[in-house]
Amino acid sequence: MTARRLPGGGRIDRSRTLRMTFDGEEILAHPGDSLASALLANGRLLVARSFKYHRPRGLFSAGAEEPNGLVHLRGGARGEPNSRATQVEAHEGLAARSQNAWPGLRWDLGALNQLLAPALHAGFYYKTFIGPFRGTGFWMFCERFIRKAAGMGRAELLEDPDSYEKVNAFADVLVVGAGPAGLAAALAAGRACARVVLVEQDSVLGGSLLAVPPGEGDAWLRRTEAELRAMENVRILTRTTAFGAYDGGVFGLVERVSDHLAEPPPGQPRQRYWLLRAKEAVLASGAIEQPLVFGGNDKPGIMLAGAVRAYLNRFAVLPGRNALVCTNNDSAYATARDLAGAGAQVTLLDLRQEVPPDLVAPLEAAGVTVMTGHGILAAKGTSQVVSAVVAPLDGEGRARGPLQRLACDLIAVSGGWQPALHLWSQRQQKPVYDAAKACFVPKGEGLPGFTCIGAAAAKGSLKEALEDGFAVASARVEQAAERGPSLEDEDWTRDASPLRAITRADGRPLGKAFVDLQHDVTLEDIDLAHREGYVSVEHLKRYTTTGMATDQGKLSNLAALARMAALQGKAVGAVGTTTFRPPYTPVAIGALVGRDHGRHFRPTRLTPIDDWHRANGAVMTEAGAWMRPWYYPEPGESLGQAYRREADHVRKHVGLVDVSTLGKIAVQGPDAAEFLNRVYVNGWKSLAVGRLRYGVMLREDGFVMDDGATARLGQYDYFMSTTTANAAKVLAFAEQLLQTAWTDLQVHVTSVTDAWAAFALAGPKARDLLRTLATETDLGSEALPNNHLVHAEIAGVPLRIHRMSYSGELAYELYCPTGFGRHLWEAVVEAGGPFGLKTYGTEAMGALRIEKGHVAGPELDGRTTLQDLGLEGFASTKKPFVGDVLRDRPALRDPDRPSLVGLEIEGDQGALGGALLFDPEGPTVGHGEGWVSSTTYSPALGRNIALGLLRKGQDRMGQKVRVVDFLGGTSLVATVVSHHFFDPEGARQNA
Amino acid sequence: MLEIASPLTACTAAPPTGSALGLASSAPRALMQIASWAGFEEALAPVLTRLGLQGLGDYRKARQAGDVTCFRIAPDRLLLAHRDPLALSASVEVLDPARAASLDLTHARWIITISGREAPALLARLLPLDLSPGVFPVGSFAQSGLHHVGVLLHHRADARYDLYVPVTWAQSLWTLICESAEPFGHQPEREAP
Repeated sequence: MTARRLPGGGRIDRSRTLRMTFDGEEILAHPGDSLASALLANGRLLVARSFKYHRPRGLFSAGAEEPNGLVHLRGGARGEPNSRATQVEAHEGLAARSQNAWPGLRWDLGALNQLLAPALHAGFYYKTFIGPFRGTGFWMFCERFIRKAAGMGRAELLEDPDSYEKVNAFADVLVVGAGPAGLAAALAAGRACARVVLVEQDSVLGGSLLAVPPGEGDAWLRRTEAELRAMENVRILTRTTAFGAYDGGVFGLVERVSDHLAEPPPGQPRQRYWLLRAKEAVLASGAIEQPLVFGGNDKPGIMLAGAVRAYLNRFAVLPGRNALVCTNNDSAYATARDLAGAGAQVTLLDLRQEVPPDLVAPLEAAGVTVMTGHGILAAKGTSQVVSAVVAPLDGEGRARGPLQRLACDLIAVSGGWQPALHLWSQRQQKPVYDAAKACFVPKGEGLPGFTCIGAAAAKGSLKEALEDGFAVASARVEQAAERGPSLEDEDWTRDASPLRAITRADGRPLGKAFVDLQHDVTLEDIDLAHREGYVSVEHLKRYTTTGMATDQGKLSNLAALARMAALQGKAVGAVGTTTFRPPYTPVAIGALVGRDHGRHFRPTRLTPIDDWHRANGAVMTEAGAWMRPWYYPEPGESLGQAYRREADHVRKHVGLVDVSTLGKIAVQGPDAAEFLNRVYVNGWKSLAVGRLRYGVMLREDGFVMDDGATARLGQYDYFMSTTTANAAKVLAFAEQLLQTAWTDLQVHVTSVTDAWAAFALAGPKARDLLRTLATETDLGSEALPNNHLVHAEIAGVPLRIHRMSYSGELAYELYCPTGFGRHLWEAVVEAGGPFGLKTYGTEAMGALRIEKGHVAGPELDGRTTLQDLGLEGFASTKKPFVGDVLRDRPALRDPDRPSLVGLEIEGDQGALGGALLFDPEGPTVGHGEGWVSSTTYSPALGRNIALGLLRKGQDRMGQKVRVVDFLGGTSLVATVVSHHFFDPEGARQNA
Repeated sequence: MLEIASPLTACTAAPPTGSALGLASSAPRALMQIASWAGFEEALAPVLTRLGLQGLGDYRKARQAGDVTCFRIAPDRLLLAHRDPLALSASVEVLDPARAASLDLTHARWIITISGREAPALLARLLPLDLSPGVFPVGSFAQSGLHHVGVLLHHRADARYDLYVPVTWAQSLWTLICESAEPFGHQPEREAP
């Protein structure tokens, strides 16, 4: 395909060619390629600009740790920023573009930042923009420009057309990683009949086996995969990342179901979020190769040695023909060997002074020049590496002799390996530094049900990894020993050197030497933090930003910690390491959201009349989880016009409102009356069957919790109603009391909100209308006075008729089984025609209750007492009840407390809920003397009225107050009056 | 006699022919909660005997006898589903109200039936329950949260699950279930823009 694609080898399908684009230019690839390998194969070394300095960057790795190759995928609504090119599968039509560069990647204006580099050190923003002026205004002004200049990709603002889903899964054994250790573990556990979930972030199984030359490993891989796929108890999830480990064996996985396709197939999600609960977890996530720190170590053409080997053997891409391999451990020798085998000219520089002869001899036989005790002091080149300054080194990585310049187009580096312990660490485990292996390892007291194996446990050879894997199920069932493939490999833990930075003799790098490529954190930044007194690794991280964001310490931690330790004169282990947090790699918000958006952002609750309301023109409104009819506008009517008309109609004729949303609780048992006596402030023992009573309940702290009417249906059977908003709270409160404090009471409480539809029929013509429907029932005021109920039947529907009023009018509440609710409603509406019946919504209902002075949610806000609301008279002095003691606290008995009053607003403008009340002559400062809780225009009074809580309200009847709404910038004048605005004697409701 | 009106008014698209997943809904014929306190089993024994049920059962396995299915939903509560409302009412009449309470919940629940080979896969997208055959065999039931709403799932028969959902939440849950079934070939109605 190109000069960089090898004519043979690799694990790609050369029979097909895929056409893709990068920054609009055509890129050819084969199935099996990643976007990264395709870019390399097409000679695209420059793929990104760096975070802060906009330096040219190329691909550095071949996996999830990629710090440079972040690209924007697709476009429009399906656009996705910050995708790692190393993890993007090649597919026909894939369109990717670079980000953080303008006007383009090759010529990026942001690169001017490099001129300012000496000033853009760690802490630059804090020192420069926070503090020069009082307040945060200056910083917030500058922040927008800083964020534009720096940063990564930009998210699309269009609605994502794709779907995402969540799935729950369960397993006996979760195996994270399908490299040799993970495969062996899954195989062993599967054979032991455990339910196994094997998770692999790659599209294929194999892990590190895919980076070695084809051979025996492939045969073993095929056999193993076939056996695993044949097991019904094993589920294999490829393209799936285990990103989070949580308490209780819970793991978060994200499966990229359709990311490898141009768009998801019809009905299929783009990604799937698995919430997996596993009894045991086996972490076989391998190890991440670490970079070396030297001048210009970020130039395109510098890559991890392991990545070079993966591109070579998996993707048949030769990243460079003239390669320098620089290492502090054995593993890079395999890369040098494979590069030489692919025809590259190779020089290997080993930082170690002495190297085992068994490593060197085969390489030299293959034509590789090996220079021990040497390292790269600096890489040279502008848009890509062209040469390197090589120096002999002392034992601390400092140049100690004459420099030489070696031409090269590829530098493969290996600064050792760090086990990928992120998931283990997320469970609050602290890894321990193993000086012999020069990495942090999972030691300690152990995490029950969580095992690290293979390279993740710092087992440096394939043989050890396989042994670890096969041992996983040894406790479950005895199995025949299996060795797995016999491959020639180097043990990266043998004689590993802790050297990771190469400097001049004075300890300083030759040029910019990056510790964190993703955040442009340099060795000098670490030094600066040290000079400024940052001694904690956690503070160092936050000050310099090293290891933050998507890197999560994958590539930057060891180098930064080593430098910090050296500066402090400590061992690396003594400075410790930071805690890794989920997610291991970034997770799309869509995957976390799943289907919980739009109409499913939360579940919605509908009354049985919901369709009728909508079909009859109701404008619906949310009331907690419920949807309720707000008002039923006639043509051309506004909300204000509609609710005034509806409320007025109820006062003059008759109206019907759906109150099915009221909380309803069945209270049953021989101690039900005693239970009510304790819950409510008023007494219940005298309530006869067929009667109902208004009640108020307090919280333990003495504040009002809720109110409502409770009916006695039978000897041991009560029907409690609550406000719509507090239904669940009251039920939970009652259940808690019965299960903890009042275990002596023989009472059950059960929500029956779903079981009963409820409608309020209100207005002077309500009885006349109802008589035409319940023809067999005596509805006269003597047979059914206020606060009584009767069983009846209307249009074949059995129901209860409760005589009670919320509106202040002659009113009845009709309770029928939910499934018959629509039938009953329509029967009432039909019969109501001759009576001028109109349905009304919550806005008119609110106007009617404010006129009547009834408290509701705005007054029962958790801050008011019986005394505040004028309900003190309900409290019994003959029995204890919840809140009885604490309601007498001095603060709650303070006569200065705001109390409920009515407010008659002067002028045509109504008050707004939440407006503050001020003395007419006093200053308009602070919280005032009270607030407006509920407000409406009163059709009955022909003026704007409101309910409010006003300091010493009962002593201020007739006085004026100012009603100030700071948000709307209005100030009104109101007269303080009784909150019983309309028919205070109750003549209408008692008619 | 009046029929119980369905709370589901949309998203009722039939499954594609040959689908491995079926979605249906129905009203319970009769659903009754009976509860008691100390001496729970003794207090309920007359009802259980009349219904042909032996003992109270446990919290995971529904008990079946003729037309009645019994779910032990709490230490001192049973939920009885019966095909004959009159028979159920007559059975609970023998309860001593001083020792036990009955409560008709027929109108409080709606049954959503998920059936077919893919039923467990769909349910895995809705409930945090392990539905593998060894853990949740036929006859099992569980009370759980579906989209934050308390539901009861009954593995009624092979590849057939009944979800008892609160009727006022039913429409919301039904549309969610239909949308979750989309990967299995269902085509739910889309939200109006």
